[in-house]
Amino acid sequence: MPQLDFSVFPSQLFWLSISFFTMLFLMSKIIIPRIAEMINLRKEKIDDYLQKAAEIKEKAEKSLAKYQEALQKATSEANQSLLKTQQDLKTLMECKQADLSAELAAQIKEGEQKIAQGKQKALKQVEEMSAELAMDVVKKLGLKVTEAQIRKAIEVSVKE
Amino acid sequence: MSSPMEQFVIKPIIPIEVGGVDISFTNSSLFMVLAVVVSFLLLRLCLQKRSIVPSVAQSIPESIYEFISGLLKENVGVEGLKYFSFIFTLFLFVAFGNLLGLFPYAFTFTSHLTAVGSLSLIALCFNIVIGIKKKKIRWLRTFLPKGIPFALAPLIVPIEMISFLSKPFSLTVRLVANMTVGHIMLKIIAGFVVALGVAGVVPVIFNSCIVCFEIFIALLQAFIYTVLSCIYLGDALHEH
Repeated sequence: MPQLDFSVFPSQLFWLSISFFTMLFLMSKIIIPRIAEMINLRKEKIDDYLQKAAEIKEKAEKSLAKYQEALQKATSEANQSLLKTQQDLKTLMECKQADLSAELAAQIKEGEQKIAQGKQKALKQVEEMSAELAMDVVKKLGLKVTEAQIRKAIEVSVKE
Repeated sequence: MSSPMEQFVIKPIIPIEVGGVDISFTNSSLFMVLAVVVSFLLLRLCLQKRSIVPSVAQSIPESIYEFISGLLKENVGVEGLKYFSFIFTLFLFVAFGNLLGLFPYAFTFTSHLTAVGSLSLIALCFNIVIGIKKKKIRWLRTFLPKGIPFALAPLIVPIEMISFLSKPFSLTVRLVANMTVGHIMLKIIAGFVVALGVAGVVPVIFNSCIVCFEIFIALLQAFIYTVLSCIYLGDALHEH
C-alpha cells in the first residue's frame, strides 16, 4: 500500500507543517478577525437593542405606575366629593324637611284655630236662630215665656 | 483496468533534497497547498461583503466559527477559546483535504498515514506545549494520575504513556482508514462502469450516491478529528 510508505515521511511532514502553519497564520490573522469582528458587532448591537428595550419597558412600567397612582388618587377624590355631596344633600334635605314640617304644623294649628272659631261662631248662630225660632213658636202658641228663659234653656241644651 | 491503489501513489513534482533528506514537493504536497489556498480564498470570498445581517455567503464562515467555538467551550471550557485559531485551522485543513480529494484525478493527502500522522504529531506537540505551559512540572502527572500509590508507578507510567501516544495514533488511523476505504470503493465501482458496457449505468448511479455519501463522510471525519483533538486538548489542560 502506498499509504504505508514511510520513505515519504520527511517530505510529508515538511510540506504539511509549511501548509498547516501558513494556513494557521492566514486564518488567525485574516479570516478569524474578520468573522469575529462581525459577530461581535452583531452581538453588541443586539445587546444594545436589548438594553434599550429594557429601558423602554422600565419607562413604560414607571408611567403605568404613575397612571395607576393618579387613577387611584382621582378615584378617592371623587369618592370623597361624592360622599361630601351626599352628606350635604342629606343635611339640606333634613333642614328643609324640618322647615316644612314646622310650617305645616303652624298651618295645621292655624287651621285648627280657624275651625274652632268657625265652630264657635256657628254655635252662636245656632243659638241665636234657635232662640228666634223658639220665640216665634212661643208667640204663636201664646205661651208666657220670656226671652231670657228661652235663651237660658237653649244655652243649656246646646251645651249638653 | 488500473489498480485501485494507484491513486494513492505519491509522485514527486519538484525533487528537493536537503542534507540527504528527501523533501520533494509531491502531488500530496500540492494538495496540502491547494487545501490552504482554496480554503483561504473561499472564506475570503465569503467575507467580501460583510454586514450586521449576514448574507448566505457570510453565514457559512460564521456558522463554522460558531460551531468550533461551541465545540471548544463544550470540551475544553471557556479557556479553550485561546486555542480557537488552532482548532479552526485543523478542522478546515482536514475538511478541505478530504473534500478536495473527492474531485476526479485529485490526490487525497488525508488518506496517507504519513500526512495525517504529521498533522497529529503537530497537534500532539501543541498539546504537550500548552500542557507544560499551563501545569509546569505538574504536567508529568499526566503519566501518574493523582491517588495512585507510588509503588504502582512502574506499571502505570508505561500504560499512561502508551495511552497518551495512542490518542494521536488512533486519530490518524481513523481518518486514514475512512478516506482510503471510500476512495478504493469509488475506484473499484468506477472500474465496473467500463467493464459492464451498457449496464454500466447501474454502477454510475451507484457511484453518484457514494460520492454524495463520501462528501458527508469527508465532513464527518473532519468533524470527528476536530472533536477528538478538542477532547485531547481538554485532557491536556485539566487534571482528571
